[in-house]
Amino acid sequence: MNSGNETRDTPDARPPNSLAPARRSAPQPGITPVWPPAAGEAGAAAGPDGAGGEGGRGVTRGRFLKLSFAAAAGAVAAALGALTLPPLIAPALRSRSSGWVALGRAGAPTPGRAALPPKGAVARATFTRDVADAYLPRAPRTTTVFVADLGDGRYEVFDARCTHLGCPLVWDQAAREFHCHCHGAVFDELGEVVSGPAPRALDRYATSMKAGVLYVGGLEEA
Amino acid sequence: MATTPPAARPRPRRAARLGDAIDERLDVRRPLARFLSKPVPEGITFYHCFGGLAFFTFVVLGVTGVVLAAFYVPSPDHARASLAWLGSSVPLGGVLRNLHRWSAYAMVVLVVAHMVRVFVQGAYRKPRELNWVVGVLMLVIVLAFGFTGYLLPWDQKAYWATSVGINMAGSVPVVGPFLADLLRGGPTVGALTLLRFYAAHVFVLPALLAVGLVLHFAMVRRQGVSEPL
Repeated sequence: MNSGNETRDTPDARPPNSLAPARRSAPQPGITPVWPPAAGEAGAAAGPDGAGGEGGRGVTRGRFLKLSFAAAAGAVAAALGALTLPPLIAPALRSRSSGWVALGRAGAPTPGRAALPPKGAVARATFTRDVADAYLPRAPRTTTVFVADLGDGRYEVFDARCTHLGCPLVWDQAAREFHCHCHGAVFDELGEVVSGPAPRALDRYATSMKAGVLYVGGLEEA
Repeated sequence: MATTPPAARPRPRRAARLGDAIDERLDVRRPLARFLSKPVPEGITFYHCFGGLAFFTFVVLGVTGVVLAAFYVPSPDHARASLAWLGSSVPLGGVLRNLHRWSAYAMVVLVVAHMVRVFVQGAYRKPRELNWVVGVLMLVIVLAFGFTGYLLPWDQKAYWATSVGINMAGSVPVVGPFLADLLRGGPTVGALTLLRFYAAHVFVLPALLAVGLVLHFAMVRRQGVSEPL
């Protein structure tokens, strides 16, 4: 009645099927392998034994159940994927925060405003803006840039990171070049690649001059 | 373009050929076929589905839990804020969290229903006593999942429920006070308690339950599903 009867003889126990001779261990009585199908058979739809009288290529009970299970499992996997992937993907689609922020005043410095570099010079500068970081409250984050005076009141604001792999750059005043100490990339004072592994010129920030004050906006890749 | 002569026999599908290649090297189809074509006794009803459904909730909890772990911060400073941000600023974040919550409720209910079915039908009897024992151990693990997970939101309900639960552990004779301090990581419920519960919830308990499930399922496959009385 209540015994572990995996070897119970079922009424429809079948004769040894065509796979059996090829196997070292004979299938257990009462267990008819439904998969894999024997070689040369019409397909998985047919029973494992050609003489099974399962009606040939039609949809058998076993195949129907197998497909139903596969469909249900696929539906569950799709539902879980549809629920879990958007939260993981969404943060990757957030746009970079930008907005204009004052970098410095041309000419003499005034209280609260750093001076921009004199004509023809390149200088390191920083600006700070509030950045949202997930669940953390918005907090000020300082960004380092290089400001180059091109003359005629025009300025170029370079991102201070190498375009190779993002290491911080150093301005070499004597050579008038930017050097990256990670992998040896060199950029000239206009941000163009001189040598090394950098794939492109330095990235720049959008700039705007208003009433003698230089503002920086979003970062633009070269 | 190039006309291929009609083959004498249809070429097997690519997937089938890949399967053949793997099987030729690893001989997986034979054991797999044995594993997949297990007969079940007559008289199987929907009451026999509770265990499998409980396992299904475990899968859902595992998937949603991994994603939640990518957003939740187990720190008194940030636990609440990180979950609030998940609910308000992440698409489907609230759905994700509540799916985890309701799956957890469902898991406890289904585990108990499964236990009742096994008990009422006498399926725990020889030769299946060991599987009953493993099942009861897993019931404890599932309840521990619930207890540890309850603290993680770090709200008033979580804090006081954990305080009460740990005080219950503290009432055990002799070792109780030490046990309570061990669970808390100190004399009061705080940052270490949260980290301990988090570590148990996402590392220790899933591993233990996975081991229990493997044993549970292996024994079912070995012994077959018991025939209903």
